[in-house]
Amino acid sequence: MSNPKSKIQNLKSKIQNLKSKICCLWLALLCCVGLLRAPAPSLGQATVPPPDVASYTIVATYDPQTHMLTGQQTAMYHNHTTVPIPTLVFHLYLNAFRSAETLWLRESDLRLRGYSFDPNAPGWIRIDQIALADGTALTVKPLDDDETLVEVALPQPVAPGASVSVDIAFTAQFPKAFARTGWADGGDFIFGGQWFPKFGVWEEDERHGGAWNAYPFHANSEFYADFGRYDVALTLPQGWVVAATGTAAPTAKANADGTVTHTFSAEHVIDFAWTASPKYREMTRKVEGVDVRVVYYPRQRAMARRALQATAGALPLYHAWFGAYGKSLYPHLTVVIVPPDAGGAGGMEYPTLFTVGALGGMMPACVRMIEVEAVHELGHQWFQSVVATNEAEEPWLDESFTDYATIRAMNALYDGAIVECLGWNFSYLAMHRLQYIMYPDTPMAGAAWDFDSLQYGIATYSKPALALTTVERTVGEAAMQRFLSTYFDRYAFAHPRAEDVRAVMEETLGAEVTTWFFEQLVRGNATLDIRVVTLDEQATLEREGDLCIPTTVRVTRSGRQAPETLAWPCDTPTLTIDGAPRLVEIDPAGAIVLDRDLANNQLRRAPDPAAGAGLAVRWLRFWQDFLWGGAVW
Amino acid sequence: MVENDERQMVNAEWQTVDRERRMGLGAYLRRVIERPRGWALSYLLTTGMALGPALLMTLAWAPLTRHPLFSQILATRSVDALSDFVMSGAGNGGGIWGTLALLLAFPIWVLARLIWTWLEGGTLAEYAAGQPLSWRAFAQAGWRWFGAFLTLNLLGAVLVGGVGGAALLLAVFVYMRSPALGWVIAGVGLALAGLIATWTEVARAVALTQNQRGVFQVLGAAARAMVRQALPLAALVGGGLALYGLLYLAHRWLVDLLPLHWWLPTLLIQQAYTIVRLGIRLARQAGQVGLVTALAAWYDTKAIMI
Ligand SMILES: [Zn+2]
Repeated sequence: MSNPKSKIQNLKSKIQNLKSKICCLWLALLCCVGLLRAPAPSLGQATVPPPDVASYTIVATYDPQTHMLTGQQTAMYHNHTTVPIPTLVFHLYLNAFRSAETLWLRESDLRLRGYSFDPNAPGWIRIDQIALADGTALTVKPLDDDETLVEVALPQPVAPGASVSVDIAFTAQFPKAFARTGWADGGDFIFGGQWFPKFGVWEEDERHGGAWNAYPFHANSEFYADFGRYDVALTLPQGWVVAATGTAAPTAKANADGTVTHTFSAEHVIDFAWTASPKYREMTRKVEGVDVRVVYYPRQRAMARRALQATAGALPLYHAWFGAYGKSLYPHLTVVIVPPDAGGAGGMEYPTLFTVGALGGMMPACVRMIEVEAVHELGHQWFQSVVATNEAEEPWLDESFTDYATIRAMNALYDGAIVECLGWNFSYLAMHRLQYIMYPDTPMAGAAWDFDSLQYGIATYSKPALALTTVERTVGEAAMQRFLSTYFDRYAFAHPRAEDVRAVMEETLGAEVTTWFFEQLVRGNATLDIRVVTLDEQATLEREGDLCIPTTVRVTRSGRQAPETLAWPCDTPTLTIDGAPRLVEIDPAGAIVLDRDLANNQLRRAPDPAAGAGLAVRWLRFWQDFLWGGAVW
Repeated sequence: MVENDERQMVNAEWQTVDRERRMGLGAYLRRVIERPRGWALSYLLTTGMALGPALLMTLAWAPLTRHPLFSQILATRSVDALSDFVMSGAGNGGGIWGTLALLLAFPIWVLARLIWTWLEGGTLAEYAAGQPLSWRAFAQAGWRWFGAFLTLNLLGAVLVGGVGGAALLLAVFVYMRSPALGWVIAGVGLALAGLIATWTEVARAVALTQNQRGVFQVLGAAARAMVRQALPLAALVGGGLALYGLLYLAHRWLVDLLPLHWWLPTLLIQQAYTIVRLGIRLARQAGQVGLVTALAAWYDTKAIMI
């Protein structure tokens, strides 16, 4: 692990000397390196040159009384493909919450992550006016019943290499905090997510030519967007504290009508989110060159401190495992602790900003929900904000790496435990196992809307996180390191697909792992239970399921002899071991966390008398407590 | 059959409450050690009755020690291992022995509480008396106070359960809206439950020192005693609970240091813990006897002065 760390430090010291222009050159260079190393450049690779693809200048005023925002937006789209763009497509995400009848709310049954939609406080967004830069008025055509996706015909297609710029006047009504966006605390809190008309992604492929990759907003689905530059001016009442993606202008402008305009700019980002409240407090800390800022409600100071602690702990780990935060192009990171009645806006990632608080209010220190949430959302800064995969079509791609990173970081920071109360401990990995074993045969691949919410959780979170952990423990940390940093390096500021991940895996980890990972877990429905069936004079071991991961068996014959280790290739369904072994342990290192049943992997020939005595002693104490009538009084 | 005058004598023995001798609280606390009968009997009772179900449960679960993961649950208190084990087909239930232990659990518990209530009469009488009691007097005190103490115990359990349970439910409900307020309510509920438990405990000391078996009079007198002796009582109860806490942590820490296979040192530590814990509880009760005795003496002097 010393190698990548020193690599990063090198990189950091170099970068500190560079001005932003040179940074762009460096980025271009990096993209070229990526191209050179990859024999067959595909759609997803880092071919995006520095002219940004989707950029926005937004001037908006938010009224906390009505929870309504009026905005003026100049949106610029650059055609980086070889196919002319005939129309523009915009997401109007907030329309998913305009009534209880929308596709999104029907699919979700009005709920997301335990939070309910309030039909009395809906959300919507309307394009009031849209015109080209020269004033030519354009018309908007809905592409779905709910108008979450609209098309705008252009008088002339956008030629390859050219850009188009449109001016949009829009009005957005925020819902009561739900599904990552909205207001709460009687209007004193607002989180602006998915709040402006946003371009789809214009893509080109050999078979279909050019097309907009954009779907109506579905319940399970998250987002997909191009990189670009955002310049956003937000006007709010005086006294409100504002936090947002990117860098804030040094001073806010006080207006004659008593409002204040806050200006932010962000480069090389795929989205822009903001939050504001007159009640926000903040704390800051510099971690490995990144300015971390936490905004929180006064009563959530302890929660904020815990989130900051976890973020500051995980950031250096991710630097070492994947590469520098934002490829050293993002100077800031904002952590938003949402107030207790805005849990629906918690637990979400945006470029250079994430929210914590999806799991409700303060928990005792031994329950690390806040920590795991922060560690997870921070991981998305690498896999989603920088390696910007398509969360609608391939939701497992960003969650897999993020949640694998979360498991690993939780191991490093907290011994894995998300709960460690009264000596009892429960790990994030085990939590995933509990979900995974409900439907272990769910393939990871699939669009967000292909799954119900339980299977979505398994396919995009639990199973991929366990699968990548199994990969790591099978190939070793050094090889895993090569895989992760190559993937991040090659596809930073790009949109890789599953095939691109596969190519990097094959290149760095070899064909065997790649085959079972992609053929059997990503696309296939293979599962595995390796077990000791019987153990008397002879041990009988069995593999059930097609998932082909080779393993080893440790055999202990007597206390004096050293145990021997046998290889167990996956084409051998049963294995017998003679000579009445005392103890047989399959996969002694616990690598295959995908195993459906971990309890049947080891067996002793006879009960363990010392453990039995230990058990008796504990039962005695238990019954003494019980008869005593409660251990406390 | 005890002769009439003999009974008088026995009664006189445990009724000799040393009011006139102004004894400090410390003297009463020391009686737990100086007159160790109650302490020893309560430990023997608890342990004797626990042995049966403990052995049954051990028999039930001993075969599971063939699975190293099962031993891991015990050794590391790993919920990971526990969840894997529960979800697995590897270990199923506790069989006939486990079922038997569970069936016996409630009757044994009821019996233990009854014997404990009986023991409390003799033990407290011995702490209150001028000198150590004879075995016969000890047993007689047990019977004499059995009814009153049982009523007080039941009343205490119902009140503590009701108030504590209601506060807990309310706290959970409020927690959803305001976590801080939820914690406050839980804290207040817990304190209230502790107060009620102390009340019925002091009532037993009052009953004994004032030779009064009427539960309601006793509860009234106990409430007055709690107000009069609030500070020393708070110190006694609070100190006892703090000692409990420290003791629990210390024993937990020690046991966690030991591997599962070191069962003998584990046994010694856990039994030492149980013994000391019983001692702390009895010291609290002895202290309460001392406090209400001192109060009675104070009332006596007041009466003389008037
Ligand atoms: Zn995520």
